[in-house]
Amino acid sequence: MDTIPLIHLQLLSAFLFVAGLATVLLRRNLFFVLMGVELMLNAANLSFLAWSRVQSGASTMEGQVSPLFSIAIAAAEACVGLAMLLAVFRSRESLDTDAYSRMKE
Amino acid sequence: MERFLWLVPALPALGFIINGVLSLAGSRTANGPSRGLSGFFAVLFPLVSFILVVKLHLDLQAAQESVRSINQNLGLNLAVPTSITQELWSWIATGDINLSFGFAFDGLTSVMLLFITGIGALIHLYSIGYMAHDRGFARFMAYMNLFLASMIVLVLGNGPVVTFLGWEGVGLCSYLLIGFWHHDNANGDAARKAFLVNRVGDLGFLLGLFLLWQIVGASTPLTYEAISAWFRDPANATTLATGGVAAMLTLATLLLFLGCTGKSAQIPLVTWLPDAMAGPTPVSALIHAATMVTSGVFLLARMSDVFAHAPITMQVIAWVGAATAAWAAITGLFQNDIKKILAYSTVSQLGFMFLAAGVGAFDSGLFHVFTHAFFKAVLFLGAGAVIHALGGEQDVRKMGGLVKKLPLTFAAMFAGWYAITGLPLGAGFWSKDLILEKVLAQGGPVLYGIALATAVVTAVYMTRLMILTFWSPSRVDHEVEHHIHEAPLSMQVPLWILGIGSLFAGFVWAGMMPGWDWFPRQFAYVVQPAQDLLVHGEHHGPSVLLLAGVGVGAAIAGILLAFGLFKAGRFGEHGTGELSGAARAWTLLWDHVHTVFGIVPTRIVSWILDKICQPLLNGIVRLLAYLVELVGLVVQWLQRSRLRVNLAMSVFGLVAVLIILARDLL
Repeated sequence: MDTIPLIHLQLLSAFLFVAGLATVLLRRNLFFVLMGVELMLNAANLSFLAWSRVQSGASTMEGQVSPLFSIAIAAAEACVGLAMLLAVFRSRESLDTDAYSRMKE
Repeated sequence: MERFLWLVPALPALGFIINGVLSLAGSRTANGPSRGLSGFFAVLFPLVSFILVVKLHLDLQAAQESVRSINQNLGLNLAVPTSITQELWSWIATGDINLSFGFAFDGLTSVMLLFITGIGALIHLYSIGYMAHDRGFARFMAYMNLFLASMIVLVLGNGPVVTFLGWEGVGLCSYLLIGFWHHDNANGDAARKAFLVNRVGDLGFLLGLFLLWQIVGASTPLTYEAISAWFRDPANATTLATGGVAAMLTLATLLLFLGCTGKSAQIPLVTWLPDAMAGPTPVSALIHAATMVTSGVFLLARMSDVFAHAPITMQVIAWVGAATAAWAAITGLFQNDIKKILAYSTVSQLGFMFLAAGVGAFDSGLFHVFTHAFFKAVLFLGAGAVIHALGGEQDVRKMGGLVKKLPLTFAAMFAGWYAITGLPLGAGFWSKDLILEKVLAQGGPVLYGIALATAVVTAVYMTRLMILTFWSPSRVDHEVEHHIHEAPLSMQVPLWILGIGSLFAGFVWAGMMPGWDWFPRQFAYVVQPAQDLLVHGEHHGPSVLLLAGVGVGAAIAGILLAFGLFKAGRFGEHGTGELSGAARAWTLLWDHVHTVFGIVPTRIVSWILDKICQPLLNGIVRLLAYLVELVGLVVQWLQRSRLRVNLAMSVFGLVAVLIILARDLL
């Protein structure tokens, strides 16, 4: 049954994480930044699950429970994040992260 | 009983807290805090401490006696217990250093504590009457209690470090009480002077202690017991004999002695004590006559084993003591302020104690501490009663004829006068003659001559004080004369007790009568080894009776001289105004020395610091600031306030940390 080797899954997880990070760093639109954060979270979840497959006995469960927590927290975080996004948008009239600076250059 | 040792200092400390709270709580009310409550606590706790000390003393005696009788009956050789000790907690424990905070109650401590707490309680009682009309009553009582607690810690500490804690505590209380009436700036100046001069001594104490520790090695715990044992151990004799260690020990003991001169107002740090008379009179009696100023002599006796190995220091101590005694006695002749006369008298008597310690008679010095505590306390308290009766007048030129108006006060002060001049069987007779005898035997004829001459001068200025205050025709202002009244009972009871004490306290060591040696037996094991080391063989000098006769003769000569001078009208009793001319120069001699050797050099150094070092340092600081600004410019450019840039930088930082961690793992 176990056909996909661990290393493949980890590579996929790393790729997704880097993709998420790149989105966060390179996109200026706040929506995409949030989506990049979600992508990074899910990459971590995938990594957890992949590790749990190679464990045996009761410790199998640990790798599966952690993503559940993280999904729940991610949902809450998305909720708060979107609310904040709306608030920021109302005050700044912009979704461009670079436009938020009020510091002197 | 040893479990309750900590209560002896803790009770007055509790009194300090209670009175401090009362003082703060009552400070906003119309009449100030309740005097009855405050006075009750202030006297109660020292009294309970005194009772505890008596009990501890008896317990120690009983324990020693029982061991002795076991030894005698069973032919054993058990060690006789010398002290009751209590280790409270480990104070500083780091590396080699292991200091415990604890108390040790032995014979020397017990005789000191008996009169510190006993006379202390009496003076607290006296203060109730003396300070009754003062708004700061509770504050005064709080400070006095704190002083007593500190003094007990000083004496009771098991090592020099604990003693130093009390040493600083009494210095602080002295400062607080000298400046008690702080509305007058002169009092504040006197307080600051006392504090600063004492700091110089304290620095000497600390440095001496460091050097001493260097000599005995860090593995020796810093307790008096261990230090004494180290110096008594024959195995360490060779170490002590090497040139470097001997020089270091001389330096260490000289520095410790500097600490003693600060607290006990000896040359060169003598100047603060006469100024300290700015405080209320009970303070002068308790702190600046009976207890705190004797702590220098106490420390010498405590560390007699150390000092005995430094002959040069002992010479210095003896000569400083003699010089101080003579200088202060002569100064006492010129003073017109009744408290100043007594202050210089205290300095002079302290000089006697140091002279005794310096010639290697630590026990005689301590005996004079003990008797002096009685007669100087009664003299100060009597002077306080006189000042109280005259509504604050301190100038003896405006007194006179008070023997009829204040007979009870006169009787008490007469007892003090009788004791200090050294007339037969008074307290001072026994101790002063013992010192004179030891000085002749161990210090030589020159020191003896100085001491004897000082005794004559002592009798002169004390008799002058008595004549001008009590016996001469009245020179009191008429307005004041109507209000003269005897002091209230709370002030009289201490006067009577201390007056009786000054007449009879000397019998605890009546040298001429065999068996009357309760006093030196108490702490013989502390000082005797050191004294044996210093004195070689029996001394065959003039007989004790002859020397006592010479001493009494000196006292009588002084008294007759004083009466003669008074009859001849050379007392200056009709003059007014400040001291002038030679008398002033002589009085302020050591202040001038301080100015030349202390204040002027300090001014020069401050000028150099201000005009040369300050601009130099300023330049360096400005340069540094400029450099920081330059770096700031670069960093500012990096800190672009763009969210994405910041985030990227923290990711790079995280990766860098991970790489470093991973490299460590591999």
